[in-house]
Amino acid sequence: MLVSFNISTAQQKVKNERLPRRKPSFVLHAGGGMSYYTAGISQTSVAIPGTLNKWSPAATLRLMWYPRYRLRLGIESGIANFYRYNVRDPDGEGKVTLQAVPVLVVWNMQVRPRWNIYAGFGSYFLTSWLDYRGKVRSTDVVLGSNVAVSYTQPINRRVSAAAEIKLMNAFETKDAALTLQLHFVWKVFQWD
Amino acid sequence: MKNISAILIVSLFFLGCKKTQVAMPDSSQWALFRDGAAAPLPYATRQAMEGVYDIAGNDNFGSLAALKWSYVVNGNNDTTYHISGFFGKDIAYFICEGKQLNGQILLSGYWRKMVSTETGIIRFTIDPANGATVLLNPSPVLPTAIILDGLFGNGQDEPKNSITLSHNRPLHNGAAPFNILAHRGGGRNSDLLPVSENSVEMILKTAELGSTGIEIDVRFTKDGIPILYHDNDINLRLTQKSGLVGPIENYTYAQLNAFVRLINGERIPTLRQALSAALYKTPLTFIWLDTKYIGSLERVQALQFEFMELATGLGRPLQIVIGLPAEAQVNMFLELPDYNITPSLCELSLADVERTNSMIWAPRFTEGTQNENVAAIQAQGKKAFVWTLDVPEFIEQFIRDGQFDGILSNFPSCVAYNYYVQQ
Repeated sequence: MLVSFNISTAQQKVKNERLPRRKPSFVLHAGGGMSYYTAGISQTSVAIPGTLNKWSPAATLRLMWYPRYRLRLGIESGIANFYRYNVRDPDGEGKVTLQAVPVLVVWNMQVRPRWNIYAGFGSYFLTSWLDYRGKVRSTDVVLGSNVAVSYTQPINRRVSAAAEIKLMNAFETKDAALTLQLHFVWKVFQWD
Repeated sequence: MKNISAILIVSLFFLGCKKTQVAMPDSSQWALFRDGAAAPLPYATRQAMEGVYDIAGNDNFGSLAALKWSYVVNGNNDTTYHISGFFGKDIAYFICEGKQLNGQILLSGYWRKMVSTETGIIRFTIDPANGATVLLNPSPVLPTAIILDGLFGNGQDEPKNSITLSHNRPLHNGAAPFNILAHRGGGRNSDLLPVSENSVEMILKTAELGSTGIEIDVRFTKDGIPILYHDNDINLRLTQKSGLVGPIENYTYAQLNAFVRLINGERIPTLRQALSAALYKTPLTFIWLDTKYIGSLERVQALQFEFMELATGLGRPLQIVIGLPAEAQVNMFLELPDYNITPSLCELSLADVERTNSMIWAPRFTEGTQNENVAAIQAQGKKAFVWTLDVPEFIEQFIRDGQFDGILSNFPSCVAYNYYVQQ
């Protein structure tokens, strides 16, 4: 409700600014940055104190369909590690990393000139990388979403750079991370 | 205004999803009970105290209580005895320890309602004139008037509300032993118990809740160790966040033991640890091994025979059966050597019970009481259990109208109450 209210207000403002008529296009976003795990896991009960690491490099790949109207649609993927930590017991030391690859349907709208909001819904492919008395790679698919805000700076007619802050939320497993990324935005195809 | 409404709705959504935790009260502060001169109660006293009691002075728990003792052996072979009181209202119960001091009997513990988060401290005193003198006699002569004068409070508050229990009659004891079976080792976590389902800690606690037996879920790790775990995957319903995801069969036991903790912090137990706890540390007499996997049952069968032999050697009544919930498990069971002399429990049709030579037939409760089929099974010298009964009205109905030899439930205290108060 809050989002829809803000969107409607934003739509009105954008309309008043008499933006030029858009041409349909496909736009590719690719970029990377850092993520920080924000969900509740201050210290897992088995981790060696101080080894829980919530920071990780993060990357995003997104293909958007820009129609003539304002609401855009696309698909998004990427990769980030939610967290990793070490354990130690009499039998040895081990480490685990939880990696997330989202596959989401994404909606996007420009709410002010150069400012965009994104909301996505779909699945997160979670993978555990475990190294303790043997290596295991185990995957699960869970429901999730994301929301993002970006600021885009045009470089030329087809290429832009964007800064984006995004919340990744695998809500089925109560995993979430905040990412800050720089994106390369390329208008790969446009109808005249 | 729209913004405020949105914030309220979102807040209510998140508050509504938050799991409620029950903090069990600390009942160890009663100075009289902690007196150094307070002594344990003898076996004969404990036995004589069991029975159905009338409740007076308070309507918080209903009109009747069934009192029964249980025990748990602690790590250093020190045995703790508990008296449990099962009530007919709100699936309430109390669990107390007992001592004697200056001719009085003292009971100290906590009460709890399973339909809510209500809990608190409860204490009872039996004065010499109210039956303590007779009960503490080396050979108590019954029947005698036994009156428990009690006080209970809410949460950690000092108990101030009075409650009186007066002995009415012995516990109901049918012609054949009745099995009160606890689902997933004692009850699901949704019951807000302080221990996790399918854990050793749950198995050690379940007799306090009235259980005479347990159903536990068996799976295999990657390296072939049978463990107790219900779901296919590692998930937040059963475990704390660990960073491990996917099928539990992807991991070795050593890996699970190092990285995974159950929702209340316990380790995932092996089947051997679970059977050992049940055999050596509890009075449980029945174990139902529910098979949650597709694969050979030989390792489970070997452990089953090993622990039944150990129980026989101890002169300890303990029956262990392999559960057969579906056709796939029946087929695996039929591939076992000596399957026809392997104790099993079949949840399928009467024909499948015959095909597998199962000693127990266990239909789902939605099929009704099925008294004719139950009688037919019992005529063959077999038993019939029903699963999984959790609604108090259904439990009462099945005990009143049915002929089953046992009930599987997440609320064994409710089954215990309804069974023991029968006239």
